[in-house]
Parts: sequence; C-alpha cells; structure tokens
Amino acid sequence: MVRLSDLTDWDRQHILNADVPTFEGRPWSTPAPPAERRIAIVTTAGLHPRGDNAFTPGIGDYRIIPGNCAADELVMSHVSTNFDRTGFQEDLNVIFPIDRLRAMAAHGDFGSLAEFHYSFMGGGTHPAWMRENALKVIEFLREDQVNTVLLVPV
Amino acid sequence: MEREGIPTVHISLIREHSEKNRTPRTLWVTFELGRPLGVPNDAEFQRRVLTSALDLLGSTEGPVLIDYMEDAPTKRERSNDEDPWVCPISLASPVPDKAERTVDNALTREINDLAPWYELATQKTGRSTVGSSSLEILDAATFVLSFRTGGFPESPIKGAQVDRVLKWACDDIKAYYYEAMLAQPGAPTSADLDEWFFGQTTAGSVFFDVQRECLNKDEEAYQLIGKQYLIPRLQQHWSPLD
Repeated sequence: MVRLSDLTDWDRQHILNADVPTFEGRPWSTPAPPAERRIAIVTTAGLHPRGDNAFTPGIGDYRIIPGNCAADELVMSHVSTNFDRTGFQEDLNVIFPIDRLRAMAAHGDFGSLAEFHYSFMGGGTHPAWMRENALKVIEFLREDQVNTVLLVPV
Repeated sequence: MEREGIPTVHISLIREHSEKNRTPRTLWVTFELGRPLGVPNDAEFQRRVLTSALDLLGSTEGPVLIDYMEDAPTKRERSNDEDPWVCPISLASPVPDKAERTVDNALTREINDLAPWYELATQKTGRSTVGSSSLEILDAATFVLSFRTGGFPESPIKGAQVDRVLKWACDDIKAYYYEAMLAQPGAPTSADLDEWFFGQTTAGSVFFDVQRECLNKDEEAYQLIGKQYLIPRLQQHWSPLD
C-alpha cells in the first residue's frame, strides 16, 4: 500500500510540488448507457509494442497499442526508476487491464472494447506538452467509435 | 476528451493531484506506484477495481472523486511469509576489485548464471518485458560496461541517441534480473528486489559506476541519467559516492 506518508521525503515533496494542470470550468460529457459503451484504455505507463520507438522524456508523443497485441509484444520505456515494475513483469493487466476488460465486455458489463488503445509517457513530460497529440488520439478514438476512455496512470 | 465529447474515468494513484485537477470521474486507489490495478495475477481483485471505476460513469454530475477502500496485499502478505526475503540462489559475490576485465567477466557470469531462471520466468508468464533497447542481453551488458570506465561509445542502434540507448539497456538488464528472481521460490516485494539488485549484484555495482561517469559529464542528458534515471532514490544509499 502506498500513501504519501509512505514515500521518501524527496518523493513526497516532488509529488506535492508537481505542476498539476487544472481545467477551466467542469468539463463533462454524459456517458452512454453501459450496453452501448465502447471502451479504450489510455495509459501513461510508457508502454509500446516491442520494436516500436521507445519513449523520450519531454516530447509528449503517443504509441498505438492494437487491442489484439500479445502480452509478450508489449514493453515499457518509461523513464522513471521510482515506481514498481515487478507487478508489470508478472502480469500486464496490473497496469494495462486488457484481459480483464475483455472478460467484462464478454460478460456484458459494457458494450465492447476498442480496436486500439493508446500510451503516453508521463515522466519528465508536462501534461500540457501532450495536448496536441491527445487531440490526434481523440480523432482516432472517434474513428474507432470509442465513447468511453479509461485513463490509467502508473 | 470530455470537452471533445468523450467521457472518461480515471484511476488515480495520487489523491492530492486528483483533488487539484478535478478530473470528472476519479477512483483513487492506495496501491503501490506502478500497480494501478493493485495485485498482479489476481483477476478478481483487478475486476473489482475496474467495476468500481466504471461505476463512476453512472454519476449524474461531477467531478466525483471516490476512495477505493480495499488495499492491495503484497505477495509476502498473501503468502503469510514473515521471514525476510533472501535471494534463493548463490550468485558469486560482487567483484572484490574494480579491474575492468574482472568486472566484465563477473557481469557476464552473473547474467549466464541467471539465464535458466530467466528462461523459466518466460515459460511461466509466457512473456518477457526485456526489450526496450532491442539489444540482446549480453550485448546490452557490453554496451553498459563500456560506460563504466569513462568511455562513451557510439550508439549501437541507428538513429537512436546513445544516452537514450544507455537508459534502455540498463532497464533491460534490470528487467532480466528481476524476472529471473520472480521465477524462483519465495515472495519478494519490489523493495526486496531493489535492495538485492543494487546492493548485492555485480550489475548493481556497475550501475553505480555508470552513474558516477554520467555525473562527470557536462551534457544535460547524462546529468539526468546520473541524477534521476538510473538509480531509484531508495537505493541511492548503496552508492559508493554517499
């Protein structure tokens, strides 16, 4: 279990001093009914298919993860050394819950899973630098008929 | 995304950030950084987290920030193992002197000693996370070793900056060691493995040598690797510089 009080002083201050973006107003879209939801994962874990370009801090770009990408084909090039990777090494789903969502869709918990998912790399990259690329990802999500996004950090 | 008409639900590992940025639907979890779904290989636990997150889509107004109250037990807690974890195999001690050839040989031997366990790990999980650098593991080791005595080689990957390849090669070596350990009996936590890698292996001591050489360079890219991208802050206490 991790709370701020469990972290080192440096990590705690680093987190508390982070330049966290805020949103004007209260952005809000009304979700579709569960049976009509088509869900994509957007992760900031720096995941990408093996052989795809690894992430570089400060760029704010993204990688596309096909929904049928085998677990063995995904690697992580996140720059930070200060989070656990052993969970990911044991089970992809602990950071990218693709199998869990697939099972939930098959069970009827929601309509369907997107054909493509997306990965950014949070470390060393201010969220504002991702904006332009996030808008591109939104276009791809629309093409894929996605109407719900699960945002997963690392 | 919300402004563009796509509803979102967000799992948060840092409640203080979510209080500030007020994303529309947020489930705060208490889990270790790096494990937003909580427990590896526990489909039921992960499903409970996802169900709680997706339930927020039923909120009629927001922002909503809900605390997920179930903590994630560590592997040690789940196995009821109260003894401290120790590496269950015998690796040769980190080299007693820093002669260049000795360290090279020691690292190669260590990687070869771990090879059967790494193979077992890939058989057990059906996958490996080694591969950020796209170098074979012994090639990655040779590349990293070339930095430890102040050398700065050409990039072994066309079009990739050499400092980036150094970082990815180090990540691959670490992943190789950790995956090999995870295949073995015992229930190490991530902190156990970090302490073992940086305190007890030749690879860990090589990382500190490379850190020292990076900090001796003026370029910002190497300064960043030396200061932030190589050694976790909690393992900095093993540094011979401290």
